[in-house]
Amino acid sequence: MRGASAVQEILTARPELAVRVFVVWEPVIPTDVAPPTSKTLARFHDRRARQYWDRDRALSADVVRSILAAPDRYGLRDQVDADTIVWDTVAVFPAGARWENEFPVPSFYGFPVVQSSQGLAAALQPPGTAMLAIDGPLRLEATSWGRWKPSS
Amino acid sequence: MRLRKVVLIVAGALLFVAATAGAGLAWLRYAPRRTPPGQPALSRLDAATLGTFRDAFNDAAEETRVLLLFSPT
Repeated sequence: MRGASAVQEILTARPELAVRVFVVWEPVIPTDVAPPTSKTLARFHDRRARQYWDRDRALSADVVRSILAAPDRYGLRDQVDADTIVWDTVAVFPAGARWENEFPVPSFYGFPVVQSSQGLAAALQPPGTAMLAIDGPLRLEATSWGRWKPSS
Repeated sequence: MRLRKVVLIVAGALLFVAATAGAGLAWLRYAPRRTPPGQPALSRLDAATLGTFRDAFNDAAEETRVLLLFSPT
């Protein structure tokens, strides 16, 4: 949940940013037995956000399907398999990117979100704009997609 | 007498645990699920509505888009 707060802080600091935020809540751990409550939804109070409850993890499955069909397109060969669940993950798509048959390639993605907030903030900077008030080194490189596998 | 006391304590503890678990489940089941002001209501996403989600993503193609996937607990 610290990741959600970190992203909201970035959005709060950038009210002028033309960005649309899609927040997808999905059950991953055993306590995820119901959709998020108002308290959880309030973590993203930005008006640019839209929130979804994905009980069957349909989006995660579609992302994994796209990656497995063309792993090199996403730079994720051998990092994702059919059991992968994409979660605690952030992905940024630039203006103009469209989702046609396959999931679009993000310009930035990171996992877990709380450790990707600096990279997210940098990814949201307009090209050629200096980054202000950043703590520590920039993390622009992609990290692995969020994954969780049930123990067999 | 002592055995009866132990049984009563154990039964009370079990009752307390069951009541707490029941209240927790009821809260999860019936708690309000309202999005903050200015946002659309929480939408269900599944295989049938994935196309609608994709359309919403593409409809905002003139903007940068951020996609986040989280567990609610």
